[in-house]
Formats: sequence, structure tokens, C-alpha cells
Amino acid sequence: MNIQQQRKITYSWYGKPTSSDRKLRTLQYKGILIAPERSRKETCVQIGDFVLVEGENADEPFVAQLLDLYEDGAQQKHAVVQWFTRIAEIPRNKHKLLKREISPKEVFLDQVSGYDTDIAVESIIKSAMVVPLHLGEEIPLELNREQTFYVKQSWDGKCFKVLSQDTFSKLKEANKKGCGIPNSSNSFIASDIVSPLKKEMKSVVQSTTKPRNGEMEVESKHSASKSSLSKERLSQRVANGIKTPTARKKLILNSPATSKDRLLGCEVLELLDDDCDAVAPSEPSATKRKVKFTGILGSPPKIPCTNAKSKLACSAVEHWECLADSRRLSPYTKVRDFSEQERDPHKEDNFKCVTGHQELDTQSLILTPRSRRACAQQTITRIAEHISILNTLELNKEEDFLSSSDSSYSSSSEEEENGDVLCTPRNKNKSSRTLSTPLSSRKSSVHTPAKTPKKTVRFYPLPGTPKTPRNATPEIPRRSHAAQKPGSVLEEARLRLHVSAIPESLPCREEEFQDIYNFVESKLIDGTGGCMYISGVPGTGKTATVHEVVRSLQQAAENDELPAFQSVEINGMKLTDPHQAYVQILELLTGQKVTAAHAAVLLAKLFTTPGPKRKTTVLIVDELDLLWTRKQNVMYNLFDWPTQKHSKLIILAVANTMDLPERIMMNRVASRLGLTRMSFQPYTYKQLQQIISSRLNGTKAFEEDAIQLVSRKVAALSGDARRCLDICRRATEICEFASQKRTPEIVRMAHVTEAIDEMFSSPYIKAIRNASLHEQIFLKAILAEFRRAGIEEATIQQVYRQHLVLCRVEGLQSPTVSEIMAVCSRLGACRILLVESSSKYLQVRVRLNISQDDVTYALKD
Amino acid sequence: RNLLELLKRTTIHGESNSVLIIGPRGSGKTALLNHALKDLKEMKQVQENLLEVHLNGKTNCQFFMKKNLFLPGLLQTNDKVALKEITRQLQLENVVGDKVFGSFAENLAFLLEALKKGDRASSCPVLFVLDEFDLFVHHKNQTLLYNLFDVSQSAQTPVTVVGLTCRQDILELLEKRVKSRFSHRQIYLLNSFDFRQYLKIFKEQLSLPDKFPDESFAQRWNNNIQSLAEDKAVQDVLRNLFHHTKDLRSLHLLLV
Repeated sequence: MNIQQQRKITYSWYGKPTSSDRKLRTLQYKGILIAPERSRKETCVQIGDFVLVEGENADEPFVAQLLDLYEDGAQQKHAVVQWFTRIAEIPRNKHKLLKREISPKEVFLDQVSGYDTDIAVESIIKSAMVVPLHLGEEIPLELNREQTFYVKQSWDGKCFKVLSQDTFSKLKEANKKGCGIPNSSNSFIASDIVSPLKKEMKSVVQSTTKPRNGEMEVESKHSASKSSLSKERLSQRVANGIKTPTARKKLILNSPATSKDRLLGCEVLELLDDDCDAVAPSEPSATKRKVKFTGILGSPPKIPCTNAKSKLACSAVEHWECLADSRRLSPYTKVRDFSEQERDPHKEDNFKCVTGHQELDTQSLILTPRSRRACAQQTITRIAEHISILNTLELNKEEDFLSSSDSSYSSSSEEEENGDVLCTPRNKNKSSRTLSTPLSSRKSSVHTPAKTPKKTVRFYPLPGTPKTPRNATPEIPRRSHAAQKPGSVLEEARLRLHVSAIPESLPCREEEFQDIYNFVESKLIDGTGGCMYISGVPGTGKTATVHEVVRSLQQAAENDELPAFQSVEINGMKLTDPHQAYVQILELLTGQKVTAAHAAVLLAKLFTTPGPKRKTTVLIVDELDLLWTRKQNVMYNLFDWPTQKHSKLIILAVANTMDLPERIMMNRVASRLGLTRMSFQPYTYKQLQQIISSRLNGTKAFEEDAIQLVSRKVAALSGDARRCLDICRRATEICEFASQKRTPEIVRMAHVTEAIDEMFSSPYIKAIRNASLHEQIFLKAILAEFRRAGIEEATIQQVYRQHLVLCRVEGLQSPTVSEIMAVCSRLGACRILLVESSSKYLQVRVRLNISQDDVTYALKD
Repeated sequence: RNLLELLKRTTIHGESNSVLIIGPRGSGKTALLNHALKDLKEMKQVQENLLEVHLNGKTNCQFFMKKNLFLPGLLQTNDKVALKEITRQLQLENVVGDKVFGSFAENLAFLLEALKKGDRASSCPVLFVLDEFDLFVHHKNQTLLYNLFDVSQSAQTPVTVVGLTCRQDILELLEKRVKSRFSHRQIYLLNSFDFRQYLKIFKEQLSLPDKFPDESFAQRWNNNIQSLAEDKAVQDVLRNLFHHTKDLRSLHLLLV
């Protein structure tokens, strides 16, 4: 989806090259035009602007500031950027360093050195806004613009720092510039949208039964439409400010000149306000306003609202004092004042528009009580918003009165206060809404998300269908009391010998560890990709070693000895289908959940496009042979990505068979896998001995000879460390059991031998010895038949004849055919016999599953 | 006895284990398991009482929870169904009204995550009983078995996997990496009794228990059984059956 969008965007330089470098053959520009083919909208991004850069996750693009734009000799457009880090990109364990809540809108100035700051222009998506804030400041809540971010602190990979003064001011400046240009471009865009908007508004006004959502839309679009209608630049800015108060705040703060203008405007507003007050009773709009307020009065939210107002009044008394005396009224009238003031800018903008707006409001008020309530809530939130705006205005004014200096610190503290004030009515509103009927609360939950997305919980009841908790947290119920601690030496030893117990070190694999470590480390430092194939029989510590390598690399990365990297692990056995590998990788990388085919596309894009800002990824593929498909496209893709130039992907493939590349892989896959291979040899008995003793780590539970016996036995058979540990564990159990009466608690040879016998003994002979008489005779008959015929296969009929003879010799009652069939099938079920599965009755062929010698030995006595 | 010890260890110490019970049909594998579980539960009863004393101060006493999953292989035709069954029996959160939603892959990931989350000390042990173990072996890639054994081999939720099968060659059917993860604990059950014991079982089956209400009737009945067991014809029939099969279930069938 994203790709197609991406393809349609054209990039062209804005203006003439400002400077060029002959030697490097680079041309530098001061801006770039980004024009998606579909719309006429063209955005111009200049140096110093903030942009969104395409990232690995389509929903969360990276934020960056453009520092330089140039074109190199090969006509490639490049950009140099200053990165900003989102909170999601910072490792989770570092979050606590911040000691505060982070909003998703907040970014950090990135000072990590590892990232490439030179990116291709094509990865820029659109422009954005980054607003610098001081540490104590609250993030303005009223805005929900996608492209606005806030920066408070910087992040250098290890700790967070407060922005230094000059970077702060630099960012501000950049922001100011950023404000200026989009504003002018906004006016183009707005004029395009004006006419449909108007129509929409009209239609909404006309239709009395408008859906609440539509209402909401109109509500939000009002300011925009107003801005478009107005011709004056100032008023437009005001409108803009209403839409984005922070932006405007910045504007005012940054440019004292404009703020003065603004002040003038404010004074004008006040005058108008007074006028309005005087005229109000006679004007129809005023009555409407009254209607509205009664509405507020009638609805429960009113009380908290006024409460909030009074609170506000208390907290901000000094601000009020600075204002006109007329303001010092009861909270209720203040509310009215606010509402009037809130309308003032609108009036100044365009009278018609405002009246239309109010008409709309009142119309909705006159509607059903239901919608009125909704509307009342809306107005409350709106009022709250406007209060905040007013507050800022007042603050600004006050500031101007006092010193008119641009000391950002004082303003910031005031802004913070402002933010607090703003917060309280919000919360009140919310609580009131929850107090009101469920119906309205649901409504409000539908309404308010746009304004307070963080706080309200959205819920969309799905009618009919049972709710399926999609993101259920998988968890096994907790156990109620803690697991018992091991009591005796033997129990302690058994715990240590369990395979799951993670040893402090991996003995006997130091060499392999070093090899893999060096491989990955060199690739990490170079920033290139590569793969390595690791093979070995089960239980030789492949996976453990690889994990250990990754762990120590991560340690190194944390200590800044290596560039940071991401590690992802998939296990072929844990996938239901080879193609699910894509899904799993993508989910581990970015947290997205998509279908297999789509995931493949996204991953391919991720690894093949020149990723501007991406950590190196270490991918561990366990049980590689299970990713085999007929066309081998999964494996092909996996091993193709590291060979791409920009992939930064290191693959560690783990499998059992040494010659897997030759055996099952096609040539093209095998060649991509490369020649970096390593095979883990089965452990020798000495190594096994070392492993056990290192695991036991000093606890005196085993005799030295016993350990040696176990390791020799296992080494002779498979060299599987798991088996070795299991035998030891079993031996401790036997020992424990035997020593229940007597005191000595140490695993001796006898115990170990018993454990080994238990594990390696063949069950067949015991099974035959314990079989019933006729079963044994039947086996004898089979042997006799085999000897007679000379082939190792016989039909039941032939065996039956032999069986009868044997019965006569033994002096037993001869069984019937059906009894013989029952005997035969029972032996078959135990897999002592292999019985042909067909309905041939007596012609069914049987053969022995074990050697004839074993059977004769078992039947000897 | 061995099994009981093993299960006890899992529940009390939070150790993970895996065991196979192998024996021919009618050798009492399931009976053994049930017996062990019953004993275990009785012991838990004691533990629970202890626990109550300790946790009295708290608002709600949590009891030691233990889930037994019986997965008869004959019902689970493939891993997919088995997996859903596990999820259902574990009563995880994505279960709504005994139905499990989501695709196979999702379910597997979900279950693995669930099992991974727990650690040795805190989460309660889970016992997986795989009846007709040999049928699970035939599933594609043996994914389910691999994952179960893998969990039992790593420091995750304590898990005990108990497999019941009648095939002696079950280990050869396991893939080598699955086999490596299996702890190779096997309990062989064999009917290693002779005819006299067989006769005793026959008598025990028929005679009435001591707690029978009508005592005089029970006395008479048991005497009759005694004389029946000593009857030549009956003994011949039984001997004949015994020679054919040592399966106790066929004895039951004959008596019924």
C-alpha cells in the first residue's frame, strides 16, 4: 500500500543550486519540491525544515531535520539530516532513566553517532513540525496534528540530556521558518478546499438530522474554512492559531513584532467584545448563546464545568487582575465572557461565518435532547480550549506589559501553568461525562478521541459477533505459592543438571564462540551483511553458543564498543509453515502483524531500499532445514537480503546436517549462503566430563568415576550433552531413592549404571519375555517358518501351520484362526511384528521388526 | 511410584520433565497415570490446607491450580486441532465460549508465548498427557512435540509431558532433534505375572468388597467365588485365555 503511494511522488529541486563543489561534483540546493502525482498539492521543503522520513514501520516514520540538500555526480539527490528519536526506538530498559511519562508525540534530539545522516531524498515523505519545549512543560493537548512533534531532551544512546540553549533557539528558529512557509502554502491549499467545505457546511446546516460525526467534522473544519475565507494575513494567522495554538504561541514568542500586532488585535477584540456585550441582548445570536448555556446548565456536565472555571479563577487571579475590571465577575458570567471572546476572533474574521456557525450550534441544540447533550459537551470542550487560548493571550499580554522581553524561561513556566489550568477543565469534563448516562458517555467517547486521544478509552461494540480479544495477553495463571527451594545436595545438583539451567559459561565451546563472535563483530563494525551456516548434531550446544554470542555482543553494544544492533530469532520448528517466517521476522522487527505475502514484500523493501536510519539486524534462523519449500523461495530470500548493499543484515543459520546446502538447496540458494560455515563436533567424553563438573560447580554430589562413566558412555553413542545431563539427573533420583534409609548421599557408580541401563536398555526382549504363551509360540512359529522358507517374510497361513505343530509338541490346545489373528495383531501393535495392513485375512504377510537372534535369545528359556 | 515422584517434583519444585509410559494394550498405563494423579491430588489436599493457614490474612486464598490436559491422539487428527484443544483446556484469554479463534500460526505463537512467559518460580506447572503418543509422532514435522519438549527443556513454565503408548519402537519414530530434547525417561509396563496371580486377580475382580452393606450375603458370595475359582473347568477356561493373552481387559470382558 505504502509503496504504491511512494512511487507516485516526484521530487524536484526548488530554486537554483546555491553552491556547488567542482571536485565532488555536487550541487547544493536550498529546498526541494515534493509533489505527489495524484494531487495538485506541492510541498516545498527547505533546509532547516523538519521532515518525516520513511522508516521500517509504515505507521511510524522517522523524524528528522534537514541540514543540507545536494545532488551528487550521479544525479542522485541526497539530503543530510539531523535525526530525532521516537520513544519507541529507545530501548525499553532506558525508559526509566526519564522518570516521567512520555507521550507518543514526543521525540528526542538524536545524538547517537551510529546512524547514517546522509539519506536519499526519495525517502522523505512530507514535512512536519517539531516544537521545542522546556523540560517542565506539558505537551499541549488540544492539538492532534499528525505531523507535530515536541522535543524536550536529547538522547545520545545512553542518557537523556536537556537541550542546550543554542540548540533550543536554533530549533525554534527553524520552527519559525517552518511556520512561515507552510502558512503561505497553506493558503493555496485552503483555497482549493474552500468551496467544498462551504457546500458541506451549508448542507449540514440545512439538514436537521445530521449525524454527530458530521457535526464534529464541520466543527473542526470551521476554523480552516474561516481562514480561507479571510483575506487578511493577520486574521488568517489567528485562525491558524486557533487550529494550532502552540504553533501560534511559538509565533508570538518568537517574533515580538507579530505578537505586538497580535496584541493590537487583541485590544481590538476586547473593544469588539465590549461592543458585543452591549449589543448582545438585542442580537439573535445572543439569545442563541443563552439557549446554549441553559443547555449546559441542564446537563450534568455543567457543575464540574463551573467548578473548573472557579478553580481556574482561583489559580489565575493575578492574570485576571491584569485584565479589565469587568472580568472580575462571578464564574458564571465569566463563562459567558469566554464564550463571547471565543467568538470574537471569528467575528473579526468573518461575521457571516460566525453566525452561520452559531446557527449551526443552536440548531443542533434545538434538536433532540440527545444531540443537545452531545453538543453541550462539545461546547464545553471547546470552551476549555478557548480558555486556554485566552490564557495564552493574557499571558502574552502580561508579559508584554511587564517586560516584553523574550525570556523563554519565564514564559515556559507560565505556559506550564497554563497547561495545568487547561488540563483541569479537561479532566473535569471527562469525569462529568463518565458520570452522565452511559449513552452520552459512549457518545462522548466517540466524540472526544480527536481531542483527547490518550485519555478516553475508545470502544466500538461489535453488534452480534462475540468480542474476540485480539490482543489477549497470553499468560499461564500464576501459582499461588513459590516453588520449593532445593533442600539437599542431591536436589541442588539435580537442579543444576537440568538442561534449562543456564550455565555461567559454555565450556568446551570457546573456540566456536570466538569464531562466531568475530564474524558478527566484524560485520557489525563494517555495517555490511553476511551469513554464516552452523551445523552439528543435536545437543552439541549450537543454539546455546549462538545465543551466548548475541548476548555478549549486546553487552558490548551497550558499553559502546560496538554499534547498536537488533537481534531477531526464528525457529523453523516453531513455525507452522515456512512462509510464516516472514510474518515472524516482521513482527519481531517492527511489531506489525500482516499476512505472509505482504510481510515478504515489506521485508524485501526494508532490506533492499537504502535504509537511511536502521540498526544492523542479526537474524538467527534455528532449524533451517524446515524452511525448505519446493521452490525454496523463503531460503532464497533470506540469504539474498544480506547480499544487498544496504541490507545491514547478518544471518546465523543453525541446522543439524553439515551438508544441508549441498543436499537440499538449489545452487543459487547455496551460493548465496556463502562459504562461511562452521560445524560443531560432538562432544568428546572429556568435554562432557568438563561440562558436568562445571555445571555441578563444586557441589559434592557425584563421584568422579561416575561422571566419567556417564560421559564415556554418552560420547560413545552420540555426544549429546542433553542426554548426558538427563542421565545424571536420573542417577541422582535413583540415588536419592536408594538412600532414603541410609545416610550417605553421593551418586556412585552403581546408581549411574542403573540410570544408563534404564535409558539405553532395549524394551523388546523384556516385552517378549512377558508376552503370553501363545504369543511366544507364535513368534517361535514365525522363526521356524523363516528358517524353513529361507526368506524373512511369511503369510499368516504358513505361520499358523507351524503354530499348530508347535502346539501339538507342547501339548496345548490348538487355537482357532481368529485367536491367532488376535495374537498377531497384538504383536503388531507393539511393533514386535510388522504386519501388512490389508484385508487379505490369512494371506497377510508378517515380518519381524527385530533381529531373529534377539527373538531366539528372548525365547530361549 | 516412579511416576508419582516425577509429577510431585514438577508440581513442588517447578521442574520440567518428560516421560513416556510404554506397555502393551491392557497393561494398565492409563490406570497407572490416573492412580498417580489421584495420589498427587490427595497430597495437594494436604498442601492446600497448609496453604490456607498461611494465606488467611489475604483477601482471597489462591489455591494451587493444576491443569491436566488429556489429549487422546485418536481424537486429534492433526496438530492444529490438538493445539486448539490445549488452548481451550488451558483456558487462556483468547478462548470465548469453548471456541478458539485465530489461525493455526497465531495459535501456536500465542501458546508458545504463553508458555514462555512463565518462569520456574511463579507460574503454576502444567501437565500434558498425550494419550496414544505414537499418533502425535506422525504429525507433520512433529511441531507439537518439538515445542512441548523444548518448553520442558528450557527455563520456562514448568511442564511435564507424559506420553502413553503401546509401541515399543516409539523412540525411533521421533525425529532426532525431538529425540534429543526428550529426557529418555521411560516406564515400561508389562504383564509379568503367572497364572496363580492371574487367578488371584480374577477372584479379586469377582468378590465383593468388605464394605458391602449386606454382610452375610457378601460372605456367601465370596465363598462361592472361592469354590468357583477352584473349579477345574473354570480354571481350564481361564488358563486357556491366559495363554492367549495376558490382557486384563479381556478377562473383564469374559467376566461380564
